[in-house]
Amino acid sequence: MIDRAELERLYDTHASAIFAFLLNFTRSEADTRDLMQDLFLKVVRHPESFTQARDERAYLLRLAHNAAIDLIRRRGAREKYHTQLGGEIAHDFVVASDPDQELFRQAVARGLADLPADQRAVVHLKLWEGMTFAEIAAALDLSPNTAASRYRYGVDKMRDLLRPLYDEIQ
Amino acid sequence: MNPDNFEKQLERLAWRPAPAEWRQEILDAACPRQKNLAAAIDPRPAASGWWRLPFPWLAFAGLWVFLLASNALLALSNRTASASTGAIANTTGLPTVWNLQLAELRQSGLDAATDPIRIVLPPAGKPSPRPRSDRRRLLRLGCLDEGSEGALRA
Repeated sequence: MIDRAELERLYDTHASAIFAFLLNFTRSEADTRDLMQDLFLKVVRHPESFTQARDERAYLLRLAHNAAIDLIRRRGAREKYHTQLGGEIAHDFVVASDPDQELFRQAVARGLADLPADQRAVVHLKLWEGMTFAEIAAALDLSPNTAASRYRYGVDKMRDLLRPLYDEIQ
Repeated sequence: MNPDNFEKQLERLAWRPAPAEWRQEILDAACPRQKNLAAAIDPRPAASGWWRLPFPWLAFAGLWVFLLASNALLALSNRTASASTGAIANTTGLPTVWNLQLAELRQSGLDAATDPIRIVLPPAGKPSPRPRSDRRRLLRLGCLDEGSEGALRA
C-alpha cells in the first residue's frame, strides 16, 4: 500500500525526470500531463509491482515509456503522430540568459523534435538521466546493442544539425 | 567538433521542471487526501450512513410492532364477525343462496314434462347432432339424465 506521504515523496523525487522524459518523447505538454497522472495512478493501484522494483527511477521511466508507446498506438498511425507532434516546439529547457546559449537551446529543441521517438528516448536517458546502455535497454525493452546504436544515430544526427551553430558559438 | 564536448554541452542543458500546479492535481487524482480517502475506499456513499444511527432502527422496530398489532386485531375482529353471522344463520334456519338456486332448478325440472325441448327431440336410432349447450341445459334442468340420453341415442 502506498499512502499519500509516500506518493508525495515519489513525486518530489522523480517527477522532474519523468516530466522531462515524457515531454521529450511526446513533444506535447498536455500528453505529458495525462501520462504522468496515469503513471502515478498506476503506482497507487498496483503497489506490489512498484515495491519489487530495485531502482525506483528506472521503474518509473519504464512505466512512462510504456504508457507513451500505448498512447501513440491509441492515436493511430505512428508516422502521423510524429508529423503532428514533431512540429510542436515545446519549451523543453530552462531559458538561458546568454543569447548564444539560448540559440543553442532552441536549436537542440528543434533537433530533438526531428529525431524519431525511439532514438529520442535513448538519447534522453543517456544524456540527461546518465543511464548506461544496459540500464536503458532494461528500461525500454531493448538489447544493449540496439540502445547503443540508437544513441549513436541520434547524437550523430543532432551533431549534423547543430554543427554550424555549435562551431559558431564555440 | 569534438564529440565529447558536444555531448557534454547537451548534458549541461537543464530541462525545465514540471509545472508546480500539476503536483497537487496529480497527487489528488492518484491518491485522495486522508479525509477523502475513507469515502473513496468505503463503497457506501457518505449520505447513506443512516445505519449507524439508533433512531432509524427504533423507527423500524416501532413500525414493525404496529403492523403486528394491527394484523392481530384485524384477525380477531374477523373471527368475531364470522362467529356471529354463523349463529344468526343457524338460529333462523335460512338456506344459503346456493340452496335457493338448487331448489329453483329442481322446481323447474318438475315442470319439464311440458318442456317443448323434450318434444322436439329427434326419433330414436337417428341421432342428430345437438349443440352441447342444449344437452347441458337439459341435464341441468333435470329433463334429461345420462341414462336416458344414452337410451335415446340407442
